[in-house]
Amino acid sequence: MLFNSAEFIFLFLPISLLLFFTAAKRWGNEAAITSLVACSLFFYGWWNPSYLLLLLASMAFNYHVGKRLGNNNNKNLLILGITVNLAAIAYFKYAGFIVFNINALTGAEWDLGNIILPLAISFFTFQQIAYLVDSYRGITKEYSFLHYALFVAFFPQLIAGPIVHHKDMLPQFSQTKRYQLNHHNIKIGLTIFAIGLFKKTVLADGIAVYANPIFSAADAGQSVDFFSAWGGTLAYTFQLYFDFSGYSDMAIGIARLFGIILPLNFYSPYKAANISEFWRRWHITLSHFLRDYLYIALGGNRSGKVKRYTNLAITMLLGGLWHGAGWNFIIWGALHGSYLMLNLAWQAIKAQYHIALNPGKIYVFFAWLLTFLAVIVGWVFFRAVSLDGALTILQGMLGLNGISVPNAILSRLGEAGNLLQTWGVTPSHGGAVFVKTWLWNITLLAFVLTLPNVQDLFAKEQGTLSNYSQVNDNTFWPTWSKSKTITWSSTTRWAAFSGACLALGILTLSQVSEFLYFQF
Amino acid sequence: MNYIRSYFISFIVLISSIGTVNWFIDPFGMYWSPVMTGVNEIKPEAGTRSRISKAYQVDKVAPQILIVGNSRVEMGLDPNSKIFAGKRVYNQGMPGAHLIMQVDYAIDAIENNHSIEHVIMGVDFLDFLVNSQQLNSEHQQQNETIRARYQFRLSTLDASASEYSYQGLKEKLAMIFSLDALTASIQTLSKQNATTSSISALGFNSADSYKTIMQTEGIKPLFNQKLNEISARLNSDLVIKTQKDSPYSPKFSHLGRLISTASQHNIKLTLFINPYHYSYLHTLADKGQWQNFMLWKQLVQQYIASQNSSIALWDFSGFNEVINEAVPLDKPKSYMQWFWEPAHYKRELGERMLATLLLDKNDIKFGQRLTETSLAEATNQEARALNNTSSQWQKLKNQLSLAQ
Repeated sequence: MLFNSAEFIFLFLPISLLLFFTAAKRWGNEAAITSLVACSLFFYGWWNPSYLLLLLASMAFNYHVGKRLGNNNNKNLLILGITVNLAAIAYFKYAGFIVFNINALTGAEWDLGNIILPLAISFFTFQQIAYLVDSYRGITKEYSFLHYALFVAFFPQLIAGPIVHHKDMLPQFSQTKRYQLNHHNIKIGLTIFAIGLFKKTVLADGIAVYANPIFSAADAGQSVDFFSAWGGTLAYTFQLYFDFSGYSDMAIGIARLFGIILPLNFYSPYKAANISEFWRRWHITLSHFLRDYLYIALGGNRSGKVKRYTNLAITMLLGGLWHGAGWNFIIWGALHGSYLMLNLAWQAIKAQYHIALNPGKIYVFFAWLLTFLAVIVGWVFFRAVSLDGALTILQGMLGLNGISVPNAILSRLGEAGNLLQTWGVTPSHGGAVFVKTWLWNITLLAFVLTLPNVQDLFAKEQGTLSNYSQVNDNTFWPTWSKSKTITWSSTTRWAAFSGACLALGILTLSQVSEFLYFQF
Repeated sequence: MNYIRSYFISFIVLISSIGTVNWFIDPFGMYWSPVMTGVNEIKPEAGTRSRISKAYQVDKVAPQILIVGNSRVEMGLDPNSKIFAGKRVYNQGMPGAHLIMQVDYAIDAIENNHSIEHVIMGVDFLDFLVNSQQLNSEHQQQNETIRARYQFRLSTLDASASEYSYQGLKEKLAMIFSLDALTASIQTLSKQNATTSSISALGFNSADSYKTIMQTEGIKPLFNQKLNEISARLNSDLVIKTQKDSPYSPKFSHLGRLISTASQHNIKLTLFINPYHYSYLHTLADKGQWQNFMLWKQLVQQYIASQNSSIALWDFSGFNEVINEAVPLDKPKSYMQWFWEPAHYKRELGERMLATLLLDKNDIKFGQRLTETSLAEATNQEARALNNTSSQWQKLKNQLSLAQ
């Protein structure tokens, strides 16, 4: 079931809320948890009931292993637990990719058939690996399978995160006040959900139509010229951000309706003025997972510079592979690993040679521009299906496939249009699409650089588990002083604004689309 | 509680306001609200959604004469033509609609409207071309998939009554309660004084956007785009005669479905081959498709005769002074008399075609009825005409800077 579907918004969500609070009032907290688990399993099974068995089996296995690890921190058991989780994800997500590459290298013709990726397997597997490690470390303990099932399957975060930790979630459900209908939580939840829905359906889906044809053409082997390549790549850059961050906001809003506060997953990443800052702000819960359970487990920065750089590279490569079983994702991870290593090296050089650059506005602007360009180049590999498709787009962005401007625009430019043609600019078709693509891109660029995010709007209300509030270090945020004055308050103006966001989001339901992160 | 109340009031007010605006502006040409000059008379967005609106509109009009085809007939044959003499006419031509879709829509209209007395259908050579891949079962399945995208609109296409009405209602609601519709409404309002294409309540496309294009860009890009597009479409192993045991490709069976349905309902069926500008015909020849084109005419004539000998097939594609009309590249912003560009003819030419099709007057001198006898004669004449116009075509190609 999609958050941006009529059946979810008008049926599933109200019924779930009604069941939860009614059960709590009449039969107590355990009954409320039972109703929420049942609703969450229904929510998951709606997509494909057969994969519900996989989720249940995974939950049962990890619950028992975690319980034993809590009583007896047996390292072998931890390794076994992690191995089983990784084996499941390897089979469903990577078996096809591995066999494809073996076939390509050896000329063999192995065929595993069509393995369909179970919904959200990456999310619930990572969440449970974290649980096993935390149990082993004695950070968390769980004695009730029902509670554990709620931690894993709680439907607001089940499908695409944020990735939550047992220690953050379960204590919230043990507080009695969560089971009482709280108007303040409802107000905040409804507002954050509406903003998230607007971001996903109006902004992300609105710009998607200008990204998809360009990448499809490149993957099909067609040449893509300069403006098309840039227009399509920027469109995807914004589509991905508003899609995923909109989804995270919706999850945060829905959970809040139940009185639960989720972790922050996005914090204006496109304002970042260096790549480390970008990763501190992009898909925060995944970054934390990779940092805590992979980078630090590999040794982190404790064993010298070479090991630190190697650990960083391995973490980012695996982070890339986590997003999808394909070489383009590995290249994307490697690119970001390289960016981070370059950034580290630059910081080290600055410190060693006492290079003091004035962090004035122009410096910050160019630092942001460089960071943004690096991220955009990464997204080309992330979005293109084939390596050739990605390279075609990059060639186009470099102007190697020529520069075309719609004839309708060239004609209206008069003499300037003729001059451009003498310089090699060729006329093309599709003036309306060209104009709309760039209008969307410019508008959304202005949005990501100037507007406050949900975390900043609701910082005073503890919108998420994060304490961030209008943090502008290492960022290019030209309107920071004005933006920080915009915060949510319980006023009619905010109610009308968020009700309008909900209405505009609902008006896109006839064009229901999938979330981009569904297959990760 | 005030906050939550205001939240939902804002939600309901905005949804209902947008719904009311969209219903009134009616950007997709469903004609469910009063038409007001300067407000919603011109519907520039309707052309992009005519596959939706025409599935429903035809039932509202309940025509006596139904025009079927693709964008050529949509822009060329005016249901308000005096030649129709008081008959209710609906133009169901749809841009880019392939033959199966045209026939499916037409059959649905016939089954749902017992008012229809006469169906006039324009057929196109490119719609009948197939490549080897299209003959295998996989392609048949693909066709079914394509069909599934619109079959819920057509009650006669296997959809259950409840599904048909549910999906239809959903689609109609989306034309009122959607952001797409709101964007289209805003564009509709802002373009009332512009010269732009609009779909009439009878399904006719005014094709006025061509005027704007010619005023800003001139006629050259229009010709370039269309001729390049045709060239690109003909770049594979496309054939007409494909089956060993039958001279007809599977495409003909769809024509057969329409013939059979029309016959069952005692509906007069008139078929015609659309006119093409000579540059179109020469592009076919340049791509090695001339023999196929002539063979296709012959097969269409034979197929129709084998199905029902009383059905008339007219051919407007033969070379003559209309087809050979010069392209005014020296005055690029002036219009041609008969064509917008190589593939699309103007209403004025459509009038001459209707006069031939409906009045059958001998003095019209445009188009001829194809019979076995006339075809044999036409084949040689057309080959000579193609040869005679080759220097004219070479000159035009040079002027358009098209690949030789």
